[in-house]
Amino acid sequence: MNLDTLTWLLEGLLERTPGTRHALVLSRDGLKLCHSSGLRADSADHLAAIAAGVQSLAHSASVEFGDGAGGVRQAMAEFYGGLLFIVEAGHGAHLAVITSDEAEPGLVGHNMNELVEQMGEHLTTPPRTVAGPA
Amino acid sequence: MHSTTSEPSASQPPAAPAPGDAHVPLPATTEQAVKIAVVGGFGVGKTTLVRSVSEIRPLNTEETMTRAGDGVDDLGGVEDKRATTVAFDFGRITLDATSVLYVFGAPGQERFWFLWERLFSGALGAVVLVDTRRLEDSWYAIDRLEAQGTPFVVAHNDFGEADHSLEEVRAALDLDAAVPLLRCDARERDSAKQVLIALVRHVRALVTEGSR
Repeated sequence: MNLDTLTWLLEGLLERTPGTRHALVLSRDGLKLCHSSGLRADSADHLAAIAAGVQSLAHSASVEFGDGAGGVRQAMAEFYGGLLFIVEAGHGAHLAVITSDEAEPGLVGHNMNELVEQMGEHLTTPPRTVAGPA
Repeated sequence: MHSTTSEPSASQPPAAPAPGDAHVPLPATTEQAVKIAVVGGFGVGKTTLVRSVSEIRPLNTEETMTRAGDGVDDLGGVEDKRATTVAFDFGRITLDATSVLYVFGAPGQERFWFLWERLFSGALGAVVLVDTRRLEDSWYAIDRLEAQGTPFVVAHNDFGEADHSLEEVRAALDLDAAVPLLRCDARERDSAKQVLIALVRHVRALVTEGSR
């Protein structure tokens, strides 16, 4: 699955989910992989770093207070003017969505998980193996 | 709890979740919390330092580095690095019956610099870790601390192998003579502890000078 296809899938998510504004796929170490067209490159870089931090803290919370299964189903932040949702998307990647106040959280979460299933294994962001030269 | 009277003032206890199975429980007599930030470039040993000194299982937010970082996160000099901090490290040291020190380690890469402001908020001072293989990575931290007037010390993390004299490091960093510079091995608890002690002494000296 190439980047154009992924971007097209992200646009589709926004189209069928009322209130959504931006969608972004990021690597777990905080770098953008692809995003919807309305998101500026600088904002995408910033959102990728934010979402990686939030997911990592959410994972720490699950280790400390969870049932031991050790996973984060979804991280969410509700702020004045919108919401941020993050779910895991394949190995080593996350999907982040920004919505307006009017979005329906249940529907957003459902549609995000549906999209992750569609993307499936194509989203694998493998660990760096051999360190490249400086 | 109350803040110390020193300037800049010590923080209230941070809102970050403390790991529950602390090896050393926080004494009920604790009255004073002091916060220290550890900053510096990518891969310089900040997470290692917090781990070395913390008496509790540190909160760490290290994530496996992915291939998306090829060409972004420069591994020159730290080729064995496999994971990187994406939020912050958090550790704790009980100083005595009434005082506790919270140590926050910042993420190093530019994309996470926006987090630094919150980490510095209420901090007594900061430790800048430097690695002589990538000295330029620490310029941003030093510039920022100087600009915002946060007291700091610079610790040359040499992993037990002194490669440059401290004078050389000071010259290369163009570091003000008033800023303490010392050598450390971030993996060693005692060595890391000396860095924190140097910072606290430096802050105390600044306060004493200022009140004269």
